[in-house]
Amino acid sequence: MKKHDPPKFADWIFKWYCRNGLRESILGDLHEQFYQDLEQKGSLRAKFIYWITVLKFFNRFTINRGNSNKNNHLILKGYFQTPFRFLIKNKSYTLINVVGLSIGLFGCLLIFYFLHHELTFDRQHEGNNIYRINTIYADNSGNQTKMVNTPPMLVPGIRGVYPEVEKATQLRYTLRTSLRNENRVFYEDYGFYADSSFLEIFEFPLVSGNRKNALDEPNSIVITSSLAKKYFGDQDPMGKNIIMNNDMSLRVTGVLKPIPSNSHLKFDFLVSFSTYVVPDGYASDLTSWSWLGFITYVQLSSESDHLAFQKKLDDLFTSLSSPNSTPYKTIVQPLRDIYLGSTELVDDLASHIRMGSKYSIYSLAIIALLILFIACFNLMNLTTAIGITRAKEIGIKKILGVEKHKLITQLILESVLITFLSALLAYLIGISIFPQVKELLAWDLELNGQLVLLSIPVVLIFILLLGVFSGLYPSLLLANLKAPTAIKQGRISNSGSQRFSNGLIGFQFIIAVALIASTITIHNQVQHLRSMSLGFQSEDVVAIKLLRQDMGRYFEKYKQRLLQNSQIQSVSRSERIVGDPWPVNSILVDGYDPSEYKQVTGNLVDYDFLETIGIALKNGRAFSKNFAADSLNSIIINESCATLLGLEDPVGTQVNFFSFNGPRTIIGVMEDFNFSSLHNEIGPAVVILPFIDLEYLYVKVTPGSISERLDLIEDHWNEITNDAPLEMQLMDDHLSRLYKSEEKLSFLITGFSILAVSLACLGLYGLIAFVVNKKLKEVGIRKVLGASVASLLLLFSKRFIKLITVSTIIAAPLIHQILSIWLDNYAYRIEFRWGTLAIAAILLTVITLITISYQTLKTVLQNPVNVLRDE
Amino acid sequence: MKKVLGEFEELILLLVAVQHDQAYGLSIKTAIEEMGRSVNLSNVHTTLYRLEEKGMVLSSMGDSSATRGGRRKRHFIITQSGKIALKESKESRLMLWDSIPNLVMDGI
Repeated sequence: MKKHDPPKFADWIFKWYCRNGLRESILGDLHEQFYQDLEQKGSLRAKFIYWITVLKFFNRFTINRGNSNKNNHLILKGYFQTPFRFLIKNKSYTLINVVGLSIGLFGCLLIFYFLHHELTFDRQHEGNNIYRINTIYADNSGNQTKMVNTPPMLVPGIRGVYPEVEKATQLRYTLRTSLRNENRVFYEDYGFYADSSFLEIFEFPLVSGNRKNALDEPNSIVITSSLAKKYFGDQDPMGKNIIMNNDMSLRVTGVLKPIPSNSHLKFDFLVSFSTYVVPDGYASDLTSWSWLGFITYVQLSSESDHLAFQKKLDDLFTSLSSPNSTPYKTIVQPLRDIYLGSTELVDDLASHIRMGSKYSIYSLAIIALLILFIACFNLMNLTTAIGITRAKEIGIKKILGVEKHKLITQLILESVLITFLSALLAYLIGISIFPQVKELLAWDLELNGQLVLLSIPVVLIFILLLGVFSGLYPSLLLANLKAPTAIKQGRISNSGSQRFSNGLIGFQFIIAVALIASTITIHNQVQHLRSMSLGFQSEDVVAIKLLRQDMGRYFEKYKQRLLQNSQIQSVSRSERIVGDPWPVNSILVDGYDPSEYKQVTGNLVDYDFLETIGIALKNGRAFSKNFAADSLNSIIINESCATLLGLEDPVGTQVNFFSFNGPRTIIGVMEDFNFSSLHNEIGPAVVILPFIDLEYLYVKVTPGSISERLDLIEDHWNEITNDAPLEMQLMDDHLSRLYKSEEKLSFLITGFSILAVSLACLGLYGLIAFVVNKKLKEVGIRKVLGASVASLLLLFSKRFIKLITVSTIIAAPLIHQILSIWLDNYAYRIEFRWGTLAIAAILLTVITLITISYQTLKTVLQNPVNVLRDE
Repeated sequence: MKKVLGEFEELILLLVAVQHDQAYGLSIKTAIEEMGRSVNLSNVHTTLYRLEEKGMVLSSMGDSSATRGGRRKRHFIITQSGKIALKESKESRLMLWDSIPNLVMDGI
């Protein structure tokens, strides 16, 4: 018969929970009973009874409550006291780790806040099932422009027609607007014309007013509470009047709480849509199905499919379009995708809509991780290094009977303690300098208590993991030591730990080389963009943004006044400023088949524009008052446009430009200039004389004291207009704003690279002390035998130089790939140069050598007698 | 304070007295099962510990045997206060027995 034993696992469980004093006798009874049962009831039942009994034994008499009831808190105290003593004793170790980790964590905390902000855009409206309708506008040759904007008839055309549309609303930008209340007048740039459905779809919280009808009546305005404070102070603004653009009186019918910074719509006030009047001179009106000038949002019923709805809209546009033109197509875009998923969409006037880029989110998240890795590796490396010198301590502890798991716990607790202290410090730094950092990075986000609270559990779990993770390898290494050898040698010579530490340092070097190379490349690209010739002269040009009404009223008089001064060379104006995107329109050479329509961007400019901005003419002439026909049927195109239209000698050719008053004659060809940003190649562009009031005024001044000339411009303006507000900006400043995102990225990457490299250096600095310490005697003997200082320095540096070389080689293809992808975003890009990588590697080597030089020199220069005499 | 014995406690305490000097967990459990009552070993032990806590039994480590894997038994003996408790319990029962009217128990 097979011999049966009591179930081992049940025994194990019992031993685990049962206290020492009772364990022996109970287990004896259990076994005795088992063998009795085995004879009487068979093995199966015996085992079953055994299991049941073991489980039922679990009660207050048997369970293990520590070694003894009285000593519990002492043991707990010991757990913390030993690591604390150790940390206090090794101050430099603690300092390096805490400083390094807290800086790393601080960086991560910042990025965490930023990412949280970016990823929670428009969350407050979640559940409302909101979609934005975007338009794809294509010409017959297949060029597509995807636009945020829709025609004004779309909303009336779908409201109540499609059952899935519960609500629909459209917005129209207010351009620069002056708002006046008694004595207070300001320019406001961020506002929309909107109807009441807007407030019902987007439930922005109202302080006062009724969202159902606040925007129904013409001449109503809803303002945010910050705007209310600006105009009305502490008074209740409800029912009060605000004068818009000096000629329209609006009644305040609602006050909104400030619009959160994580909303893709940016506005300070809403004017009722029924107030909106299409300005004089516009080619379209509100019954248009083709004028892409509005933004449409719909709220769909919860069970409807937005792609099916998109199909219906496409069918609608197809049924409405004329046979010659390509019908619009639509993109029904869910609200949650709008902020991060709109980079390929063009917006007619981008400033009112916030767009984020997934790209910067990914890169920041990766950088945060890399920095954390570096900080974490420092901790691991230093813990291992210092642990190796602690072999004696560990050996004695082992001999005194400290159990292995307690040793491991103690060592891990040390690193957890360090991470905990660092996190505390990181929070302190973070909260105290957040405002400055925010300013520095121009971040549009608030640090609120809720967010801080939210981050605490994440950080707690995180540092716990980090601490355990960093302490695990060294503690296992140490806890597995054989006590006698550990005590005898006083340290471990473990090639495994050397490899481990090489791996960690190597990884840090890869990160450092990658970041340095990226910094250099991004910097070069930004310089490249700035140094490129734009094809026009932006120096000494002052750009002024005006109210259209003021422009219409004062322009001619103001221009005459200014030109009387010798410091003013020329004055002109345009609809869109150079540098902002220009609207897209269609062009067709007169007499060609309508299927030959091409897309060009167009701007309305006044006389003297080309002269003021310094755009050279290749052929023909500029607009002139001597030719009366110019204002109605002349057009100037650029070289790219001539190429697009396939015209060898364009001057004199008749073209149809959009729907503006019949065919126009090309009177001149401009040399290509960069009217938009250098992200894009120079495209085809045309300019015509204005038929509506314009927004931007340009003044070209003579070289010399710029502030004197600005004063002159302002004085004349004040004389003419009785102190209407005036905002001037140098064209150069305006253009450099275009590269703000690159500069911000460059700045961020530089900052984080410096952070990463200094963290890595900090770790090296800490590590080298141990490395050197281990080789004191070796150095002494070598010196006695006649080794030179240089050869000894090389001895220590060799390892790091090798590591940097290997890391650079590993990192090279990766860096090349990533940077090439980034550079591909630019029409005018530099090539990635391998030299950059070499520079990065050399720079890193130099920094590394400087870092380790203090410790190595100290060792190498000392008298060998000091280290060799005591043996 | 007068210590009250539960029914199961009283049974265990009686058996400790019966198996004088030889009582341990499993022996008591076997004795109970021989009386036709099934019980789990853990209940017996727990009750013994509770009695020890009340000061009615004393335990000491004793001999071992092969089936126990060389583990020693924990022997229990009854203490003075255990004896008093048993006696009191018996007397109160007897008093009740005596007060039963004769005719009730007739015919058994």
